[in-house]
Amino acid sequence: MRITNNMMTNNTVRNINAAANRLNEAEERVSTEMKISLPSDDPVVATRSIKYRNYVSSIEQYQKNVSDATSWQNVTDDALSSLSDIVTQVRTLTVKAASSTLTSSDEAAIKTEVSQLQQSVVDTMNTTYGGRYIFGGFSTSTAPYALDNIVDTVATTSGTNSYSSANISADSDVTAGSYNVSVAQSGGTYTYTLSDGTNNYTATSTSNTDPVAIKTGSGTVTLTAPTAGFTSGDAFSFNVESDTVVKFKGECLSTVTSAGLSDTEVSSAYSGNTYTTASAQSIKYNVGYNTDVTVNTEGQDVVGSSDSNLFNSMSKLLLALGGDTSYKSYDASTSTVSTGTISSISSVLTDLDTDINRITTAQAALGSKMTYVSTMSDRLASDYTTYTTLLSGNEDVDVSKATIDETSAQAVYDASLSVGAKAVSKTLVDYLA
Amino acid sequence: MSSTFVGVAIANRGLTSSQNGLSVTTNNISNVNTTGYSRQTVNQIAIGPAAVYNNSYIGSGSEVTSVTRTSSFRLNQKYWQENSSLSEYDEKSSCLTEIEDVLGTSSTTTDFSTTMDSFYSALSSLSTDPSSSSARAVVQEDGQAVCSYLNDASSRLSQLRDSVNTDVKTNVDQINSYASQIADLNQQITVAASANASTNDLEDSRDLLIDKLSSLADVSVTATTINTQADGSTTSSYSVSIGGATLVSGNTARQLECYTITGSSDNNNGMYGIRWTDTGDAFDPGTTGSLKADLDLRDGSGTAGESKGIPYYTSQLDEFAQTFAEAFNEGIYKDGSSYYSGIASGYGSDGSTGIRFFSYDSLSSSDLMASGTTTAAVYANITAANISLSSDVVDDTAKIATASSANETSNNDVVNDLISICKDSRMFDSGSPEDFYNSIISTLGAETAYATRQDNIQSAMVSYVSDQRSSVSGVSTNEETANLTKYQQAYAASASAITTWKTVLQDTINMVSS
Repeated sequence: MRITNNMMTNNTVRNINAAANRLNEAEERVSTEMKISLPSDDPVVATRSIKYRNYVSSIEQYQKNVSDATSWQNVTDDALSSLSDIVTQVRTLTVKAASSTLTSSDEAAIKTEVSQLQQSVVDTMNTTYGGRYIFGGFSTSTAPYALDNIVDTVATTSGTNSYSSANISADSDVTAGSYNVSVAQSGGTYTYTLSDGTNNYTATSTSNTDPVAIKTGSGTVTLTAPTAGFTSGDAFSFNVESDTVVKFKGECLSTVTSAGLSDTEVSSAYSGNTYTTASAQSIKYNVGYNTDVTVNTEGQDVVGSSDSNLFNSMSKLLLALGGDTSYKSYDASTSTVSTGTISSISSVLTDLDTDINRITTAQAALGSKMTYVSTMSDRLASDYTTYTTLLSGNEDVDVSKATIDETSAQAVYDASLSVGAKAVSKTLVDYLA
Repeated sequence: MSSTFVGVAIANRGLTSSQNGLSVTTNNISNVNTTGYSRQTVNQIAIGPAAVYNNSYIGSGSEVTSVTRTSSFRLNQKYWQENSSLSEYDEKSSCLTEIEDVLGTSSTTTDFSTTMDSFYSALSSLSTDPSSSSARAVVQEDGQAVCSYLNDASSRLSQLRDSVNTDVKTNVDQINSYASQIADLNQQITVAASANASTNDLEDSRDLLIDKLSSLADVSVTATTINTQADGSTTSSYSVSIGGATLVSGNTARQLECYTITGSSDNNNGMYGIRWTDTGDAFDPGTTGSLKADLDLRDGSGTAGESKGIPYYTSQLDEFAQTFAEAFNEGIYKDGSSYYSGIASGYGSDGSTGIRFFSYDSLSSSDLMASGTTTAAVYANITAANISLSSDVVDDTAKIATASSANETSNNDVVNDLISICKDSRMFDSGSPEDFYNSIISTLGAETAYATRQDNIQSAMVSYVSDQRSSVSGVSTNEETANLTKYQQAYAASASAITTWKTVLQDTINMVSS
C-alpha cells in the first residue's frame, strides 16, 4: 500500500485527537467526580441517578416531617403530663374536702383552688405548638376551650307594667345576685336606675320604647320595653343566676350546671351542639411513600366529650364545695334537662377516677404513636444512608481510580504527540544532498 | 541506414520526456496539500523505428503521450456513501446533545427532577402546616418553577426546531449550488475531452464537489464514458441522483425549492417543505445525509415508524404537562381513572373551593374550566409551552386548597392526597411522574448514545476509506522526490548523450575536412 503524506498527517492528527479526547474525558471525571455528565454517556446510570436522587430528596423531606411530628408529639406529651398532675391535684383536694373535719372556710379555700385548677385545665388544653392549638382537631387557629358563664334572670314586678324574664337579658359577665330597677321620667328623658344593693347604675333615654342598656360593674344588663313602653314609676327586681361552663369550639361542653338555672336556659345553651357528632379530625403527616402518621391527639380523647367529661366532674365538685346537693344536666341524646343529686363530695371521686383513666389512656395512645414515629425516624435514617450510598456508588467516580486513569491518559497523549512529531517531520528530502 | 543526426534527435526526445516528468513531479509536489488533488503521472512510450527505412532496427527514443490523474471511481463511490452516513449521525448526535442540555443533565442541580422534588417537598411541608402562609408561598413558588421549567424547555426545543429548519433551507440552497457547478464541470470536461485537452483538474474539482454534496444527501453517481484515450484512460460525465430522482445529468442540473408548509395536520405548519422546481414533486432526501438528519430531527414524532426528533420530545413534555395538571387539579389520571381527589375538590384557607392549581396562559380557574366542553377537552389545551399556575393561586395563596372541608385550618386531607398523586405510579402509562420523566431521559440518552456511537463508527469508516483514497490518489513527497531524482538523472544522461553525439559528429566533420 502506498503511504502518502496526507495519510500520515491525517492518521497522526486522528490519533492525537483520540488521545486528547480520552484525556479530556478522564480530566472531566476527575474534576466533576461524576461518572457521567450527559445522560447519553450512560443512560442507565443517568436514569438510576434520577431515581436515587429522588428517593434521597423525598427521604430528606420525610425526615423533616418526622422531626416536626416528634416536636408536636413532645409538646402534646408535656401537656398531657401537666394535665395529669392537675387532675391528680384536684383528686387530692377532693379527698381532703371529703373529710368531715373541714370548716366551711377551708371548703371555700378549696373551692377557690379548684376553680383556679379548672382555669389551668382550660389553659393546658389550649396548648399551642408553633402557634397552632394542638387539641383542637383541624381547628388549630382558635383556642378550642374557653370558660364562660350561663346567665339566667328571674323577675319580680311592681308598678304599672309587668316585666318578665323576657324583658331582661344579662350578658355572661354580670355577677349573680339580686338587682332592682326603677324607671323615672323628667320631661322627655327617661332615667333607668339599676341597683345591686350596694351601687346604683343609671342610663338615660329620650324614648321609652327602645331597649336600654345599663352597664353594671361586671357586665351589661339590657332591658326591653313592655308593650305599653317604659312608664315612670315602674319598678321591678330580678335575680341573676350564673354558672361557669366550659365551651369547646364555641359550644358548651360541660353539661353539669347549677340547679338554680332554669331548664329553658340550660336547654337553650346546649341544644344544637354539633361537635359531638363531628367525625375524627386526624392531622396526618407524610413520613414515607403512602405512609402517614397521625400527629394530633384530639381534645375529646383527653378530657372527654359531652356525656362524660372532666369539666362535668369539676363542676359537680365546685357545686358540692359550694354546699349544693343537686345539679341540672343536659342529656344530648334525649334533648332533656334532668336534675341529679350530689350525695357527698366523695361521690365525685368516681367521676375523677374515670377522667384520670381517660388521660392515662390518651398518654398511652400518644406513647405508642411516638414509638412509631421514632421507629420511622430510625428507618428513614438508615434509608438515607442506603440511598446516598447507592447514589454515590452509581454516579460518583472512585477518585483514586479516576486519577490513575487520568495519569495514564496523560501519558498516552504525551506519547502520541511525541511519536506524531517524529512521524510527520521527516521525508526523503531531508536526506537528499 | 539511419540518419546522421538520429542520435541527437533521440537524445533531444529524452530531454523533453525527462523535462515533462520533472514538471509533472514538481506539480505533484506543489499540490501535496491541495484538497481533492489527485496525483498525476506521466505516460511515456518508446517510439519505434521509422517504417520508411526498412533496414532500420533502432528505435527513435521516447515520447510523452499523456499526463493522467490517478483516481479510483470505486473508492470515490464508497467514500460518498460513507460520508453521507457520517454527516447524518454527526448532525443527529450534535442536535440530540443539545436536546439533552435542554432537558437537563444528571450532573447539574437544576434539572427537571430536582424541580419536581422541590415541589413535592413544598407540598409535604404544607401538609404539616396548612395554616402557614409561608408554606403556601413556597408551594406557589415551586409550582411556578415546575411551570417555568416546562415553558422554558418547550420554548428552547421550539427554537432548536426553528434553527434546524433554517439548516434545511441552507442545505437545499447548497445542493442547488453544487448541482449547478457539477453540471458546468460536466460540460467543460466534455468539451475539453473532445479536444483532447487535459481534464485532470476539472475532474478533481468535480469529485470534490460531490464529496461536499455527499455530506448533504444520499447521492448516487453514475459515470458515462465520453472519451477514451489512446492509452486506454477514459474521461466520464457524471449523472448524480438523490433518493432515486436525477439531480444532475450531463450538463443539466435540476433545482430544488423550499416552500412554507401550510394546512398540515402534523404540526409542520410554517416549516420548509422541499420540492423539485421543474415538476413540483416532493423531494426525497434518501436515507442518509445531513439534510435527512435535519428533516428527521425537525419532523420526527416518534410515531408510525418515524424517528424520535424534536416534536417527539416536545409532545412528551406536553403529555407530561397535561396529565400532571389534570391529575393534580382533578385527580384524573391518563387512563381516565381516579383514586384520589384533586385540588379542585378541596378548600383553601379562605374557604374557597373549586380552585385549580395549574392552568394555562395564567387563566383563572373558572376561565380554564370554561375553555372546553369536557374535562378532557379543557386539559387538551394545556401544553408544556403554556402551562402556568391559575391566576387565583398566583393572586392569593390562601386559595391553594388543602382541606377536605371549609374552615378547618389544619385539615390536610387534600394536600395529603396531592402528595400521594405526585408519587402515584398509576398516573401515566409508564408509571409515576418521575418514571415518565425518567423514560424521556432514558429514551433521549439511548438515542443520543446510539447516534454518537454511530458517528464514531462512521467516522472510523470514513477515515479508512479516505486513507484508501489517499493511498491511491494522494501525493507522497518521498515518491515524488525519488521521481525527481529519477527524471533529473535521466535528463542529465540525455544531456551527456548529446555531448557524446556532438563529439561523434565533430569527429566525422574533422574526418572529412582533414
